[in-house]
Amino acid sequence: MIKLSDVGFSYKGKEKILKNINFNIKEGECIAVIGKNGSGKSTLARLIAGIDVPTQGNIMIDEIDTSNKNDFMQLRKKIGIVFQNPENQIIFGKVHDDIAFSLKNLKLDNIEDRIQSALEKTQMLEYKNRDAFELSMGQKQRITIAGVLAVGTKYIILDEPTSMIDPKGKEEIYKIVSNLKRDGHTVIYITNVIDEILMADRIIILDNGEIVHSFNKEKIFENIEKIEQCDVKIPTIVNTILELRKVGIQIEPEKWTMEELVSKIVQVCKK
Amino acid sequence: MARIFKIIIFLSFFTYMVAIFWVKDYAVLLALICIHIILMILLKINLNQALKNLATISIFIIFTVVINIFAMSFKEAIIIGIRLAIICNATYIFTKILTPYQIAEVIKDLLTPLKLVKVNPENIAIMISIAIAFIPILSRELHNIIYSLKSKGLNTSIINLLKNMNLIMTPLFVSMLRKVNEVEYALKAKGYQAE
Repeated sequence: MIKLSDVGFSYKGKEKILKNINFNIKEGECIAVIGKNGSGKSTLARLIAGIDVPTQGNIMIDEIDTSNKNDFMQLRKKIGIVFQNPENQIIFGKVHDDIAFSLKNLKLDNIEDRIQSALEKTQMLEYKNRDAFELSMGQKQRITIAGVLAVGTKYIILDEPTSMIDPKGKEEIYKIVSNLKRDGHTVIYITNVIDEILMADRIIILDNGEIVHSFNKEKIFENIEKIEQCDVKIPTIVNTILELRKVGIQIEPEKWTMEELVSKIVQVCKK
Repeated sequence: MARIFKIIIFLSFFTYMVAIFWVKDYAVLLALICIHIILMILLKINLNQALKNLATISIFIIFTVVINIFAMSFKEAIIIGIRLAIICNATYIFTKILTPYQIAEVIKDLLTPLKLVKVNPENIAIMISIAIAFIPILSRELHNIIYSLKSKGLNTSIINLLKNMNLIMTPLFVSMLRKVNEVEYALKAKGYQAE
């Protein structure tokens, strides 16, 4: 379980970037954090990952306090982070070397098997000996995800993983996220692409460094006004369902995908 | 590749780099260039890419030559320029044989005796390998800055760029400072903890 208690963060002498953040994340849950640019999403991601330390409150990852420097290695084995720009996360050019670096730092065994399996999961095995900087942005992002998967962390933070990649690359990342959920990983998905929040079980809206709303995905229809008040767009699927409701067509989404929505509309039309 | 073989390659490269500074003869320099070309063909290294790399840093080489023409004789300045080009090309070949990660491992092995004086060789090796990994990043940034200057209507001929060096160096320095911050985050995310 991840527990954030009264978390705040600011750089020395500067205004607070995050204020009084309180929430828990259960194991196996998928959380989406959405907010405008500059709302503190990436800072929150770095704090939860233990890359930065909160200046107020504390974050517990299971029994580990992220502020405790002595537990840094243990923390790294529990929680992994994928940055927005994969080029900032790849240090060693060769794909294999970049993934192996984390594994050696954390003194993990079966390094080659772990790399093999992680690259298979992200469908990047054929690029194992390639120069990562020569790959497309989507492929680079899959390499950084493979780096986290190779460590085998229980918790995975994805900080706007699709913001720099093309639509095809985005689809591939969505597939990986869906597989992560299926495999029981706890996923924290930071995004400012509204439609992506529907991949999560719970949605957290961040504004000006504070959590303004938090609700389960199923309750999204009850929270439309609140979402709009935060200058956050309504997801296309939700908007479509709302429009259909106005003309008397009731559709209850289960999978929250466009494919499901289309097939339900077809079913209703056939009746 | 066996560890000992990597160490031999590394030490040979290091010795070669030092030896180049003693060469004062055009004929020997020409021979070295020929050896480089043969090496690149044998190792299936992209000759075009090697030339492009040289073209990228040509501004700095020309700048060094121009300064040295005033400080030394013309011949010596040209030799310095050729030496620099050879060193850059040798470095390119070297990084195609050993990856920065392998270089880090070799340096760590070679510096192991430093543990006796309580210096962690791993930290030094990581620093050096990150510096090597920074070379292509630096080159990409340089390209981006030049494109940006072009888009803003600046004449990007070599002479004009030399005249307006501050327009390249200032954004390059700022972007590298930012990059250092990002590398720190990446290292932490990868479980690296400097002692």
